[in-house]
Formats: sequence, C-alpha cells, structure tokens
Amino acid sequence: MGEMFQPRIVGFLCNWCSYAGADLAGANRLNVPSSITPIKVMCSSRLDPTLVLTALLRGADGVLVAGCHPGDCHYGEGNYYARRRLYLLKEVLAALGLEEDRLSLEWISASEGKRFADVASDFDRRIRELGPNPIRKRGQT
Amino acid sequence: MNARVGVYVCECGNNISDQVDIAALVPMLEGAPGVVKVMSHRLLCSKEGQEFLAEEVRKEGLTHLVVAACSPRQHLPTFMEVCKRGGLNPYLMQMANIREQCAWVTSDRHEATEKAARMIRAAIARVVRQAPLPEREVEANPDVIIIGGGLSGTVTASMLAGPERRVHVVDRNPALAVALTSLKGVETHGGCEVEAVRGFFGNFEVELASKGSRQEVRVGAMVVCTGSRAMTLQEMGYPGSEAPHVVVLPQDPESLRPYLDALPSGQPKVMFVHCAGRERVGYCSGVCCLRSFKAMRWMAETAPNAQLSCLHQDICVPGRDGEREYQGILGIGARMTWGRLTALAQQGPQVTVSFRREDGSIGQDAADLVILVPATVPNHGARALIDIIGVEAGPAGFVEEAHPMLEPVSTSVKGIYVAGSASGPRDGRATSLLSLAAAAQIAAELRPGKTLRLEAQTSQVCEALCTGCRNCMTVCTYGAIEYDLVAQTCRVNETICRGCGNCVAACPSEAISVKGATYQQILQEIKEAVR
Repeated sequence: MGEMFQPRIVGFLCNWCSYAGADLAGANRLNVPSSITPIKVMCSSRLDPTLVLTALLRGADGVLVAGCHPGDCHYGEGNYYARRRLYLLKEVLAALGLEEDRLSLEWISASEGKRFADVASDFDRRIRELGPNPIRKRGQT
Repeated sequence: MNARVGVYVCECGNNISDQVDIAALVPMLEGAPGVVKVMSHRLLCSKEGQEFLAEEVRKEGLTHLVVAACSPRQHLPTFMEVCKRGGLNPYLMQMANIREQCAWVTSDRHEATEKAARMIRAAIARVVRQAPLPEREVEANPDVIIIGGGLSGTVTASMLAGPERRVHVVDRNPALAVALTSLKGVETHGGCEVEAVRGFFGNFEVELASKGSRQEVRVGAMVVCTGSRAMTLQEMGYPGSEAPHVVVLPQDPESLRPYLDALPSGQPKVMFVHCAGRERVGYCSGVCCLRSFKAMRWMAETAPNAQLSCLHQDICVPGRDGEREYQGILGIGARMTWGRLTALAQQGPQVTVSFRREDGSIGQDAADLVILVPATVPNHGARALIDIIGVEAGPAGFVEEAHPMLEPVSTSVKGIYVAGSASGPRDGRATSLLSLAAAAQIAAELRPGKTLRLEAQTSQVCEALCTGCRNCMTVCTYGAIEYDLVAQTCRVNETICRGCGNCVAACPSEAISVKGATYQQILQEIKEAVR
C-alpha cells in the first residue's frame, strides 16, 4: 500500500435517535471521522440485511448501523428486529471472507452526541486496524 | 422526461463555508448525472434565500432539488414549503446535511470538502429515483370516547362535548355521576366495558359490551381515564394485616367514623402508617402524605381525645399547601416516628406495629387503631383495557405517556390519549390539569370538519411479487397490513402505516418497498458513500 489507507464507512442512522444524536455531535462541535458517510433510514428495522451486505460487497470497509436504545424505538420494537437480523448476518460474513467486525450495531439516543462521536471514532479505528475490505483489495467491487 | 436536478449549497453564514471549501466543492458536483445547475448561497433559509430558491426551481424548470445545508431536522419543512412555492412536489427535494454531520464534526478542511461532496452526490443519486408523492388526507370523525367516568373523565368530557362533537363516556360502573349524565352532548354508557378497538386516529370503531348486549361506537379519538385506586391489604401483604383494628385509609375520612365509635374511652391511640405497600409497588405515590395529614386533622377535630401518631418514611408534601399541612400536624401534637412497617399483630384490644428504623434496628409500638396509608395503583381492569387498545404500559401497570414532558397526555398509539391518574398517581389538581390538557390536545388535533394529514412515505406491496407468506403482518407494530383472502396477497393500509420499513426487511420476496426509501434509492446512496 503506497498511500495511507483511508477507509470508507457507511453509517446507517435511524431518523429518530441516532441521526439526532449525530446532529448533536455536530452542534457540540465534536470530532467525527470523515470516513463515515451517514445514510438516514427511518428505522434500523428498514435495513434489509442485503443492503448491509451490498454495502460491503460494493467495497465499504465497514458498516455502522445505529438505532434507538432497546425499549426506545420510535416504532415500538424495530431495533429488536434490526438486532436479530444483523446478528444473523454477522454469521454469514465469514463465509464471504469478511471479518465480522466490519459490521457494528450500536444504540445511540438523540441526546448522546458524545456517544455518537465516540462510537464513530472507535469504529473508524477498528476498521483502520482491520485494513481495507478484502473484496475491494481484490478489485472485485 | 430527463431529470433536471438543481443543487444548491448553503454556506450558512460561515457555519459551513468555514470548514467546507465551497469554491472547490461546486465543480466537484457539476457533471453528476442529471445535474443542470450547482450554485452556492450565503443563507438559503433566510427570507431572501427561500425566495431565490423558489424562483430558481421555476426559472430552471427543475424536476428535482438538492439542498446541501443544515440537518433536515432543522429545515426540512422550510424547504418543502419552498418547493411548493416553486411548483415542485416537496418529496422531490432531498437535503444533504453538510453542516451538523460534516462541517461541524470535521477539523480537516480538505476532508470536510470531500465528505460534503460524497454526501451531496448521494443525495442527488437518491432524489432522482424519487417519485412525487401526494399529500394525503383522510376524513376524520370528531367524536371522542372516554373510558372511565371519574374526575378525569368528567373534566375531559365537559371540555370536549359541544354541538359539533359528541362525547361517549364508558364506565364499568352502571351508575355514573349526575355531573356527567346531565352534560349536553355527552352520551353515557354505564355498566359497559370496551371489548375491542379497530381502526386508527380519526376513525376508530370501539366495541362495547354490557351484560348480554353489544354495541359499536364510532369515534375519532379515545381518552383513557381509568384512574387509580388504593392498594388493598392483601396486595400489601404485611403479616398480621387481617387484624380487626387495621384499616386502609379511605378516600373520604368520614368512612372512618364507625372505627372511631368503636375506640375505647379515655385516650385511645390512633396510628397512621405511611408508605403502606410502597416497597412492593416500587415507587412513592407522592399523593398520600398530604391525604394522610388531612385525615389526621379531621380526626383531631372529630375525636379530640385520640392520641395521634404517624409512622413515616420520607414526608412527601410538595406544592403550595403541603408544608402548611405538615406544620399543622406537628401543631396538633401528632407524634412522628421514622420507620418502615414490617408486621402487624392484634394483641388483645391493641395492634402491635413492628417497623424497621433507619439504622436497621427493629422498633415496636401499639395502637387501638392502625390506619394504613396505601400506595396508589392502576385501577381494576386497566391491564385488560391496555391490552385491548394496544397502548404501552410501564412496569407498574400505568399507561405510559408518549413523552413525560413533551407529550404527557399522548400514548404510544396515535389518537389514544391518557388523562388523570391512569398514567400514574395524581392528586385532584394534577388530574384536572391533565384532563384539560388532553381535551385541549384533542380539540387542536381533531377539529370538526377538518381532515387529518397522513404519512406520505408509506410502504406498498407489489401484488405480483407477494407470495402471501404474511411475514410482514407479523412484524408490523401497527397492524397496518391486511391479508386479502381472495387475492391471497398482503396489502398495506396506508392510513395506518407509519413508514418505518420493518416489513420491507421482513419480506422474503422483495415485494414491499417504502416510498422515499426504496432499495434502489438506498443502494445508490451506498454507492456514492463508498466511491
């Protein structure tokens, strides 16, 4: 690798909690790695596992999914569905030659700007340690 | 028709331009598919900025608009209005949040500019795949059903009933207060219970059942006014509480008279025990200390020779009158002891009261009459009602408010409200206030003759792809999906759907999509994000 690895991370944020938390991180001028591009979804339960998989197969080095804390889902229990689906998906990643740590599911409330910044920074660091998405490295994107 | 996308980058004063190199950003966006114009502006949300944008939409004949500015949480409604003024369907506009989620969180100017470009390109890719959505409205029934004919039900009903709004009051008790039955525009249903609820805000069908008969009431909104009650001796479960000289403080102290008449002559000892049942319910009811003090004052006047004492934990007397009542009790010479009740025992003519002191040691006292000041719990039948109407309940079984501060009379179900002590222990004042609040909110949200606006970005089922597996029905929190027995496919009731998209992810046949967040739209965003 000639130049420094600049990861590409997709951050799926639920409209009601995590997206608002990310906004708060901004309002408080906290630092969030620019590697993370936010994509807003109404609820983490909207995330069909194939969408997450597609992100990774398209070359994302990491996918961060953030939803409301358990019990706080705006739609009642969407985040529980998201959790079930994504934990199952993690099992599948290895079969594709992907490290399961490239997918992370976190709970971030609308008042947790600091937590959003911390989670984003931690995830960015972990992805940097893992290195580029092996699929991307192989040029199969 | 070819897309004509206009991209407008707001500098937000210096809020965005301080961190994002606008001059470098604009050329990065030119040439993106469908983009016909990229321009920056000092402050798009200003009056001048809004007029400029509406004029641009018209002048450039834009089919889609991307506003790269602040968070949509701040100005989405503003720019949707701008679209309408410019003659563009407001759903054909997408905001890229390059302020909160880019400029304000990125210290490196070059990185911020790169990220802003990615976010805006993602917004462009998403918006060109957006179809115009109609603003949907539905006729609404202004009538209201109130469940529970106590104080909160009566206050709510009296505020809402009028020539344009009929109010139904249901109570399991057959005899409803005259205050209610004499109200104009109020129809009472005594001795009835709610059996089933169908429908949604604006159009509920409520099935009522009484002995042997059923009827259906159609309303636009419901208010849960089921109130609360005192915990019983059995529920408190103190050993020895069946002793004959142990009684739960009644709502009206006058009911204590027979017990007073039975007291021995001389200077009988009467003990009030606070926080009875508190540990079992797990909360301080907050209304009982004051009630107890008022009863003690009544007793001091009614039975002046009685020696009053009070076994208490924290004294909870908030508000304007609380401290005065407390001082009044000290003034009449009531003996105050700190302790948690552990057991009661009838020993001869007296009751021995055992309690644990703050330091853990056990104390004992005896009285001729022990009055337990009970915790407040949800009323009988509240649990069953909560399950029938589908609102959320807290751990104690009270109806949970949608938000304790911002929406104290809304529940988890749109169109079902809660007032009075159905959502927690309340005194009369708080009960009235919450009931007035519920009435005011309904008056504002369900206006006679007005339609209700519905969520535009709902799910839809493609019948050709649907296999009728009904997975979507299992995951939908709102019961918004129906199964068509004839077609053997599922169908979304768009009046109920809130657009979360859970059903989309649950569908194994990719037959469902959410308008405004289709698979294609999110996929395109992903592509731009990882580019």
